[in-house]
Order: sequence, then structure tokens, then C-alpha cells
Amino acid sequence: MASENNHAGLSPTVLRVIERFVAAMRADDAIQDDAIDRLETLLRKGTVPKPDEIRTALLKPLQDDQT
Amino acid sequence: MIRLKTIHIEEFRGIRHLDFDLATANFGICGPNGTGKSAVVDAIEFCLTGDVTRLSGQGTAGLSIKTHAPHVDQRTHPEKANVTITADIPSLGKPVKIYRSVKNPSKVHVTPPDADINLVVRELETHPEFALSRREIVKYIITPPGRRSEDVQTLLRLGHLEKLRKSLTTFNNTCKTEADEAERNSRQAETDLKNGLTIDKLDRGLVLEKVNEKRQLLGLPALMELTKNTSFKAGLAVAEGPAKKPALRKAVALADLAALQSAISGGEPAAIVDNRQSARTALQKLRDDEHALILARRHGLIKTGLELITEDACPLCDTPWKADELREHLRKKLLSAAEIETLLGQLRTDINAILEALSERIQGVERAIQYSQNLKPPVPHTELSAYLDRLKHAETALKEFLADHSRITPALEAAGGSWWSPQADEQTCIDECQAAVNALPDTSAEDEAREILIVAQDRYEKLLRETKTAKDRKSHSTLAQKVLDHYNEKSTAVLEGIYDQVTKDFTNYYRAINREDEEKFVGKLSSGPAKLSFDVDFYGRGLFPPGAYHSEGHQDAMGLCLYLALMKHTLGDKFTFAVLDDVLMSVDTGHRREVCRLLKSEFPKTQFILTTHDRVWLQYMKTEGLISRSQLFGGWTVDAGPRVWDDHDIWTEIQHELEKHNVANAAWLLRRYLEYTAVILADNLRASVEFRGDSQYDLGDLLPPVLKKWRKRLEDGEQSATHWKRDDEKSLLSGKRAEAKELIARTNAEQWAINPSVHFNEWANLQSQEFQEVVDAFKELLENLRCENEHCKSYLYVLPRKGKAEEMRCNCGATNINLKAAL
Repeated sequence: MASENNHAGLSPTVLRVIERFVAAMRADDAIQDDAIDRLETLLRKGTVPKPDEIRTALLKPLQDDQT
Repeated sequence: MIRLKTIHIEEFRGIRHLDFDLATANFGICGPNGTGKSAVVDAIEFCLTGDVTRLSGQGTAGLSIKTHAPHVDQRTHPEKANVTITADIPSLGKPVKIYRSVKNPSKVHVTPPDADINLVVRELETHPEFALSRREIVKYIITPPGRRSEDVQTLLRLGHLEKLRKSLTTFNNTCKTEADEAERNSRQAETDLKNGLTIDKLDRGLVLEKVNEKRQLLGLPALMELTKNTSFKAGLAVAEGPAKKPALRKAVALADLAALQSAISGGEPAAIVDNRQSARTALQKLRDDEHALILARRHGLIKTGLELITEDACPLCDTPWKADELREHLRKKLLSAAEIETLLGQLRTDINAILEALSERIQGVERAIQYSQNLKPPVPHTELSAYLDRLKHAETALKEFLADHSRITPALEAAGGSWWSPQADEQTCIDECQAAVNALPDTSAEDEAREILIVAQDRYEKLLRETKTAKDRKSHSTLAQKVLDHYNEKSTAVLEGIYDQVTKDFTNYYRAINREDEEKFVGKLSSGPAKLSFDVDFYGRGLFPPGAYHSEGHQDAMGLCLYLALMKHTLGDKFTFAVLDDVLMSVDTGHRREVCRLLKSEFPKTQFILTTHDRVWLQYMKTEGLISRSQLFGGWTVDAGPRVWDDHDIWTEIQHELEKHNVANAAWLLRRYLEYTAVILADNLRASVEFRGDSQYDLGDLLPPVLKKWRKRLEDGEQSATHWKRDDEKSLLSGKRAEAKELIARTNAEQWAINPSVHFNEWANLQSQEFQEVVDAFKELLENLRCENEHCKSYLYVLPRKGKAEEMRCNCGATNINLKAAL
């Protein structure tokens, strides 16, 4: 579970969306918990994550991505 | 947040030196257009945020704060342009002084420099929306849903959510593109293996049969199953030393070339013909709408433009156009968003199918070129290389279109051009290559079998890799889509909750302003990913966009109500001040009183600074008790800036002039004040003023009918009291009417209508003492028209605003005169 305190600068509404979004992902068996943890940490950082950062958080790198 | 006490402005915009004393109360600034009101708003915004929207927002290219914020005569001395605001911070119970110079807009000087005060000032910097101009109201009301979503979310400090949605959407789109490409590569690998083994379809049994056929020739045991670890070469003797890959394996090369020739001679498959035709039609449609598509996708410009056409000119460049023709012109250029979405979805399917066929052909031609090069002597292949370039050019064009939908023309050429059948000289190259390979000495059946097994093994392994990659990419794409769907669903739900509350407040505010004719009004904000639709009731006929049927005045009022509802939600208790810059200029007089009451009753803790060019509006604000202090701008010159006239204590000022025996000045002040008041009274009492097309009413036009109507209203009240046997009321009104008659006689005003020679124009010729009597008479007369409650003192007004007059009342309710003499 990502740190609850790590969300400097986010408005209460944004935090509420993040909480519900994360809860919905956790209720979805198709999404791995560790991926959700990484994404949640990213979301609570206070800045909008870039698409590449979301990819790193959610996806395991493929063989050809690593090379 | 803060409440403003004083504002000091130096050499800023059109202002040289100007001071305001607001005393943390609501404040009005009134003056004709071009007298510097908006410069005051700019100054407040600059001091609190370091920015001036008018110099840095949209359409301000070439403007900058440093160069254009100072007074034009000080444009090279930004250090002389500065603004100082003193204020109270209610939440801290502390005062603060905020100073900012144009020389260094990002540097704010805060006194005292306490940490908690600095925090408040820093927070202010992030809330430029405390200032609202009429131009900005439009963005909440008559904008397309996509633009409104962004603007409202910005106001609600929810821009973060929109940016996050865009990031997740980009991630999802990238995953989808990668999955499509991986799927194409996987299919290509299948084709390669089929070609290598010369089989028609990829079937485990068929593969094993072909492989075992070759293995049997080599005396190798048959393979019993096909797994990912299966090796077609198992048991083959391994050559000693480093393995040397032959330049050309005849059997494999012939199989590859035969497959290429077969594909060419079989003609373009009907499915690909259909895909190309369908893609071509869609791309042509987009090409015809290319500019609109690009602009609509980037900025919503065309859609916004359509909404903003209010006169016979382009809203962007002012080029003259007939409004209807311009609308039609833009509509033709613009496909609807839904249509574009469907179109792009179909295009993606068609193009992926074309790309798959292209990829297969490219690989076939690349192999033919490679074989041509490896033959001894090499077979000329210049024309074939040109064919390959053409194929790759088409592939690139289609891929680029998938990545950027504005690149339509090259994609259209790629989908439209016939690349399936090579040109004659290109075909000759392939034929010659095939003939040359065919002419190579035959290898033994064993060698051929060995070669086929080696190549098939390579291709099988590639197929396994590509299949796994395609599967992984597909699962990534599915995951990305799920994540995006969850986000869209949850963020929309949260935003809808917010919008429901905002809508409720908005509806209540708007009803309060329009209680006479829109008591059953409802508004509706509907949120969806990347859009926020706003519909309002039109007199019970249904919900429509605000710009559909409501007048400009109603739209202005809606804009203000939505703004207030949004600010209330965003700031809550921190909504302590707002600057409303001429935001209600088109609200009709019947609703202005209600606007004042709304601001006063719903936002008692908010300090409003209101600018208007309409003196009547200012007077309404005063008589309704919305503002107690104001500043009037009577004109503006580039050298001196605004000419300020403070009328908050007119009688004292007149007295001062009289004490100096300056009757002319005193007369001018009284006349101006009475002109303001007479307009209000004419409206309040529904007096019959002779209409003037230019609306240039002077005191002589207004006051006589006002006073006549005042006496008539009192008389009606008296008759009503008689009718209903309310003797006390009758006696009271009788006394008031007698008093009015006497006071009117003392002012001599009613005579103006009868004898123009006895006129206020003569006042300047009077002696101080004579004019003192006139002043006293008017002061007492105006008191006669007010409520007697010291805490109210509002001018009486007639209700309803139209139709048969029913009552004349004040704001507090202490005075309520029945005007109905019968049912």
C-alpha cells in the first residue's frame, strides 16, 4: 500500500478520485496488486505522471523492451 | 484568504496615482467605458498573483507584463509601476501589506513576513479566478462541453484530473498501437514458417508431418509433439568449428520466391481491396475536413468559433462575414466528434489489415533482393529495390497516420496506390531471381531436408517469440484499457457529485435572481470523460444549452451564478473576496435588485469589488445595501489617468461647497446626484418618463414624472386603505402624501414640466442661502421616498415589475403599502 502522506499539493477532490480509482483497480482481479501499489505511489506524488512513468509502474518490461 | 482594506496604484496601465479605501467592505467602481475601471482590476490581479490575464491570456501574443503593464509614459521604467494592497486575513486575524513591482512581477513583498501570512499570499497567487470579467463568463456558459470541462476543472483546481486522464489515455493508445503491431508481426512470422515448410495453413499436425518427412530423409527419429521447446534439428550433426551460414539455401529460397510469385499472381485479395477502398473513402472524407479535424482535435477552435459567432464577423480575426454564412461555412468543415470517432475506429481496422499485407509483401521482396545479391553472379535488382522503397513508403505513411491523424494526404496515397502488383520491370527482377535460383545445381535430398529444417527452426523460434510478444502486448493493451476505464468511471462519478452540488447552488442562485419568471428553472451539469455538458430549462419547454434560447442578459446571470456556485465549492470559507468586472452589463434592470440581494444574502462573508459603467447599476448596489462605498470615474486622460469622483457622502460635499460659496459646484453635485437617484426612482415607482431613443435623460425629463408618480402611488395606497377600512394606514398615508406635496412644492421640481423657465439650470445663479433651501428641500424629499427604518433606508419600489401594481414596499418589510383597492 502506498504511503497516505505522500500527496503534497493534491486537492481533496483529486485525492478522493485517486482513492476510488485505486479501490476499483484493487477490486479487479485482472490487475496485479504490486502494479497497483506502484501506480498509487506515483499518483500520490503530487505531479501528473507521464505516460512512460505509468507504463513502468503498471507493466513488467518485455524481453525486447529491456534490450 | 483576504479582505481588502486599501489599494495604492502607481503608474500602472492607464493609472498614474490612485488610492482606494475599501475598509474590507463591498466596494463599487463606476465610470464610462475607457475610464480605467479594468485597470484597477488588473492592478489587484497583478498585486496578488504577479500576472495580468489581459496581457498573458489567449490572444495576447506580443504583449508582456514588463513592457505593457506600466503606464505608457513609463513603459521603459517598470520599477515605477507598482501596486500595494493592505488587507485583513480573517482566518489568521492578522493584517497584511502586499507590494509588487512590475520590474519583478514574480517577487512579492509581504509585511509582516510571517510564515502563515506568506502561506496565504502564496495560495492567493494560485487563485487568479477571484477576478471575473464578462469575457470570462462566456467560457462557463457558451463553450463546447470539452472546453467547458477544462475551464471549470481549472476553476475547481481539478486540472490535475484532466491531465491525469490525458496521460492514461496516451498510455492506453500507445499500448493499443503496440498490440496491433505485435499482432501483425506474429502473423508475418506464421506466414514465414508456412512458406519455409511449404504448407498452406499453420496446423500442429501439418507442421510435424512436414518436419518429420525431412527428418526421415535424414534418418532422424520422428518428433511426436510440437511444443515451445521442440527442435526440428534435434539429432542433426553439428559441424565442427564455427557454424557457417550458407549464403543461399536453394530449397528455402525457391519456397520463399514461389510464395511471393503466388501472392502476386493470385491478385490482390478481395478483403484487402475492400480495406483499401474503405480506408480511401474515410481518408478522403477526412482530407476534405483536414483543417477542421486538426484544429478540432487540438483546440476545439472550430466548435468554439461556431458558438462565438454573435455578429457579422469572424470572432477570431474580425473579417466581415454574414453570421449565418460563417456558421454554415464552419459546419461544413467540421465533422461531428462522434462521426470522427467512428471514422477513426474503422480506419484503424482497415489500415491494420493493409499494413499486415504490406508487411508480408515487404518481407517477400526483401528476401528476393537478398537472394539476388547472394547469387553468383548477382542478379540485378535496382527496380526491385525501387519497389521495396515504394512499399516501405506506403507502410510508413500508414503508420504515421495512426500516430498522428493530421497526416492524411500521404496515408491517402498509400491506401489509394496500387502496390500489390509490381511493375513489369520489377516483376522481371523477381522472375530473373527465381530463374537464377532454380538454375543453381540441385542439392541432394538430404541436404535440402537439412536446409529446410534449419530455416524452419529459425522461423519457428521467431514465431514463438512474436506470438509471445503479441500475447503480452495484447494483455498490456487490455490492462491499459481497464485502468483507463476505471479512472474514467471513478473520476466521472466524483466529478458528478461535485457538479450535482454546484448545479444545486447554481439553480438556487439563478432562481433567486429570476424569481418572477423562472421560479421553476432547473440547470443540469453532466460530466463525462473530457467533457462537461451544461443545459438549462427554458420556461418548462425542456433542457437546452444556455446559448440556445436565453437572452444575453440571462446568459450573463447564469455565468455569474455558475461562477459563484463553483467558487463556493472550491474555496468554501476561503471565498472572502471577488472582483466582478462589469460582469452583469446586459442584465436587465428588473433583475439587478435581485442580483444585489443574492450577493448580500448568500455571500455575507465575501467582499465584492464590483465595477460597472452603468450609474444606475451602482445606485442599485447602494440602495440595496450591497455596497456602502464607491468610487466614480468621471473621465480619463492619458496624462492624468482616471478622474475620480467620490459620492459616498454627497450632502456633506455639497455643504462644503456652499460654505465656500461655490454655488456652481454645489449645484453640479446636486444635479448629478439627483440624476442618479431619479433614474432609480423612475424604475422603482414605474414612473411614466417620456421615452428617448438615445436614453440621454436629464433631470428635467426624469424628476417631474417621478414625483407625480410618487404622489399617485401614495394616493392609490390611501384609497386602498379606505377600501379595506384600514383607518390607521389611511391616516398615515394621508400624512405622508401631504408631506410629499409640501416638499415637492419646496423643490419647485414639479413646475419644471409646466414651466421650463423655472429649471434646475438656474441653480447656479442662486445665492448660497437660496440654494441651501433647495438642497434641504431635496434632501427631505428624498427622505420622504425612503423607508423610515434607520437600518433600511431603501427607496420604496412597486411590485410586481409589470402589470397591475399591487404593493409598494421597502427592502426590510417595515413599509409595505397595499395598492389594490379591490380584488
